[in-house]
Amino acid sequence: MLKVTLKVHRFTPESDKAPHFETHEVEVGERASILDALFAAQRAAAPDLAFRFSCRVGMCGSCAMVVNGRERLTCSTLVKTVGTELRIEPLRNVPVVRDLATDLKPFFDAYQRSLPHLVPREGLKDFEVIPEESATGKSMDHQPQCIDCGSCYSACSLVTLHPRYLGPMALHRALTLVLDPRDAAREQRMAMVAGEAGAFRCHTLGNCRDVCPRGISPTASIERLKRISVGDQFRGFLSMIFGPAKKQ
Amino acid sequence: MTEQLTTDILILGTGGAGLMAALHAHWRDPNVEVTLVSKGLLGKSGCTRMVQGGYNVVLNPKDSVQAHFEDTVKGGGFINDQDLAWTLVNDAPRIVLELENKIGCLFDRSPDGRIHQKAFAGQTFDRTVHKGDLTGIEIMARLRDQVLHTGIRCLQETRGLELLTTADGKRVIGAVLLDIRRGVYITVRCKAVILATGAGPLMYQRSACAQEKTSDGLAMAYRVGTHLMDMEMVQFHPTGLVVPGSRLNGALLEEGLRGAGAHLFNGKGERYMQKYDPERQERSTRDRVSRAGYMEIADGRGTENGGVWLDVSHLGAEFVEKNFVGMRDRCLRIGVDLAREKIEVCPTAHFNMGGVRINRDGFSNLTGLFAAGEDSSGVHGANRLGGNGVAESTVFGARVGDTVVQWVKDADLTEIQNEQVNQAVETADAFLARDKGENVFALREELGKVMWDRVGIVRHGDKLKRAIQEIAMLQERTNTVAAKGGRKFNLGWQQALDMRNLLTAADLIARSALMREDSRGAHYREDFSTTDNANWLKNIYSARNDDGLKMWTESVKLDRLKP
Ligand SMILES: Cc1cc2nc3c(=O)[nH]c(=O)nc-3n(C[C@H](O)[C@H](O)[C@H](O)COP(=O)(O)OP(=O)(O)OC[C@H]3O[C@@H](n4cnc5c(N)ncnc54)[C@H](O)[C@@H]3O)c2cc1C
Ligand code: SF4
Ligand code: FES
Repeated sequence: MLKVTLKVHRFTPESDKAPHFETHEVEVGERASILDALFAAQRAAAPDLAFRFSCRVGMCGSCAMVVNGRERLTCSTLVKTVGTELRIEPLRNVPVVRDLATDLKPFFDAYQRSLPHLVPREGLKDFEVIPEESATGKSMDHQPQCIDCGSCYSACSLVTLHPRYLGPMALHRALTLVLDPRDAAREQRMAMVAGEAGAFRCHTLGNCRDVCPRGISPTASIERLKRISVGDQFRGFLSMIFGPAKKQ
Repeated sequence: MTEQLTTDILILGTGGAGLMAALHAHWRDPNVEVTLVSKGLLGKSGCTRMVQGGYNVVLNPKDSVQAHFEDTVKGGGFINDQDLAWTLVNDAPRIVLELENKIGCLFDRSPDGRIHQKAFAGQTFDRTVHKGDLTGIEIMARLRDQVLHTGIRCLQETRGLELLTTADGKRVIGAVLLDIRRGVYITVRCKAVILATGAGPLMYQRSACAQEKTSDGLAMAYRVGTHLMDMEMVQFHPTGLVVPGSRLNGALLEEGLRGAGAHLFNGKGERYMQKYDPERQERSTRDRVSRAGYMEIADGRGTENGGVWLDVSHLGAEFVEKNFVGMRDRCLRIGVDLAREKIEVCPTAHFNMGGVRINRDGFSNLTGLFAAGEDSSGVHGANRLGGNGVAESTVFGARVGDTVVQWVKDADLTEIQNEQVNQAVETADAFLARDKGENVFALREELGKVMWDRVGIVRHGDKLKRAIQEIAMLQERTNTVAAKGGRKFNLGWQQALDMRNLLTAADLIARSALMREDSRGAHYREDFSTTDNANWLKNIYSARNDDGLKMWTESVKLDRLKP
């Protein structure tokens, strides 16, 4: 068994003047996650502690919090890998609903603005054939699946500076769609990428990559988008001078 | 006081069934107003998000819908509603294509570029479409993207609390909701309600489900007199993790592992499935594999922590690393390398085959109330095949969306009965008003144990009778729970509301299990251990009427396939 000291952020915005930290001493098993430690506190002394989780297996992305200063997926991080003194805070860059539960609206609003849905090109009939070794197959994004946990959005200093900035996850999704052979909205997507809320806001600090629990590098995705965007502009420039390139 | 809302179609639940229903209704007629209600976050709650292995569908010309149908009905112990099962297998190919080309999912391809289908246990053909071993993330995230695009209203972290009916109880006309964040009630007046809350066997101490799925939909439906069917049929998945003292306990390792050739060993190192199903061994259906594991453990041949061993290391580390990335990650987290060593597993409660009695377009016996997905019943009979669950939720979600959007055009909004609203509010508020009372988390643990020990994988009449009494006692004690801490995002209060519904469903499961005097699919009675087709090719119904619970049986229609 592990003896753990939790310092938990408590805050009800409507009634509390300021947040405070509540200390809970709990005992958990060797293989307990940080979420398990929260459950232990909940059961013993804090039945009304507000925090969010759903799947407890790292798939829903609901349980990200800031633990000892860093974004972590609490269901998938073992207590012993972080330590037995845990300071648990809500995600940053989003308002707090209560205690550890945040309102992810700014994060999902940015996502929604980023045109995250596939716009199927006309004439898609059967399952698209995408051989592994084909140019399309190779160029597609093969990073792990994003679980929209908000960690990257929370850790991004550019989001803090520019709340209109779409942020790492939305841009990562944009890249996936730009490379998807079934999508018809490439131009719109690239306009957004090149726009004031888009990829060029990113200063390549890599915070998002460091905290992503799925091992995605939104930083790399954004860099790739920038290259595609610059390439597009260069081609646009050439065709302005020499006339439109002939389709091969 | 409650807030008021009026809408044409109210959809409770935002899993695969709820979101498909919303999209199909909206696509058919954007002028019909749809309101989605999610107990968790949009796209991030429920079990569709947790789907690992994948989606059964006939795409290969060498396969056939007849074969898929036969697998489904044989797997279901012949008490499936054959019309529903037939609908499932026939619609699935079209819906998977829609998921790809209209909704935006991209499932895995074979090296030659064509869609890949993998092997799942209990099936005669490799027909499971997937995205790695974390398929549900793709399905739910892409459905969410399209829902965001349509602008359909979604009330997140808001729970359906109670359904509202006309005074004669014959028609559902709305619902009372509770906004979990604000602690505010909302009275909804609508033309139709679609139940898609995903049922969920969370009343068992080991369960694989997402935390929201506390059988709310079933309990709400039951309270207004909806006919429920096959409630005794609770599926246990054979390979849940054993992680004592953690919520990870009971979390799943996917079916595809057995499909790919995993071996199961008891504590003595014996491959026990050779004894229970010599022909199919580990690739046998879930009910058999779960029961075998349970019996090995019960007979003292389990591991130290009360499990058995699952081993895939003989398939080669490289194969496992490539094909089961998510499962390997999950195990690595608790210090086991699935590619190289065996891991402790134990059966875990997984899925409700039972639920609201529907027809193929989602109609229930009550006018204005529809259901789809895990809240419904009949598709899977006594045992669900791996890969048929997400197929069910998307196929029937789509159907019910298409149906209801037409149906509401001839339906009116009806005046709400205020006393029904008041009753719902008073019942929920009572937990908050109390100063001192039972600890709801402890009660929930007690229920988990009762269900696991007495209404679990191996059942007996005497144990079931005891469970029914114990559930009644827990019901009384739950009525004295005090939920301190205010109305806003108070998880203790939510847990008390959950408990009430879990107990209702638990009682129906135990009573139906007592009534069914044969063994079939997921339901196994020590005192009636054989499958009795002469007397029990029947479905058990339960419903509440003015005198309380009424239960009855009806014979299965065997019009397409006979045992
Ligand atoms: C771990 C796991 C793995 C699985 N793997 C597979 C697989 O590989 N293949 C397969 O075919 N099937 C699989 N299944 C089964 C499959 O997930 C289900 O059959 C199917 O997804 C159920 O879909 P649904 O839409 O009915 O419910 P869900 O997707 O569970 O959604 C339920 C929704 O209802 C909401 N809700 C609950 N209560 C309320 C309330 N009171 N008010 C409002 N909303 C509410 C929840 O928040 C959620 O949004 C798996 C299940 C689990 C648990
Ligand atoms: S990119 Fe990573 S950190 Fe960002 S939302 Fe997705 S999973 Fe979370
Ligand atoms: S609870 Fe779902 S990712 Fe942690």
